[in-house]
Amino acid sequence: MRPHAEEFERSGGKLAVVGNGWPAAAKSWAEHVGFPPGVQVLTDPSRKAYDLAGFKRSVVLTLFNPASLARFVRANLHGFRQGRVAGDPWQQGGALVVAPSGKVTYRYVGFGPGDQPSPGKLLEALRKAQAVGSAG
Amino acid sequence: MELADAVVKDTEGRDLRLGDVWRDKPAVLVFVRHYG
Repeated sequence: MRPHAEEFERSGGKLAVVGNGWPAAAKSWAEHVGFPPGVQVLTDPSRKAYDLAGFKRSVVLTLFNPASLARFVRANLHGFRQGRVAGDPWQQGGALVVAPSGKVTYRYVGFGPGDQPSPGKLLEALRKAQAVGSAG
Repeated sequence: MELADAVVKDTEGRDLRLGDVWRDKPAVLVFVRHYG
């Protein structure tokens, strides 16, 4: 996501990355990744926002998931290595695109490690959210 | 409770109402599994 971070702002929107560890872990991770200033890095230690967004928490999806294993192997082949886990290891991720009206115009529920929509998909969803905003 | 009313924290530990993220312009929120 980091290589595409500026594109969200150039497209008239913003990018926020939400994790679930403690703020110090979020800060350390954000500095390590090197997000540009426009990106908000947030954390939800209670995981309340994850629950309200409908994202899953599952040991099975984390450990016994063939699709995730394939993504793990592919990521390693491309040189990406997972560091020490900070946060709930069983929490799954996801993505939302939300218009200023509060309408959720896009929702992606992750079903295991590495299961996230592509930056291109998110940019497309962002453009649609802008259309919703200008129509309202 | 609505998603917009969920309270998260920034990297300095300050509380932030999630709805403030998309108040001014559309926002993409990527929820990661964990840091690392």
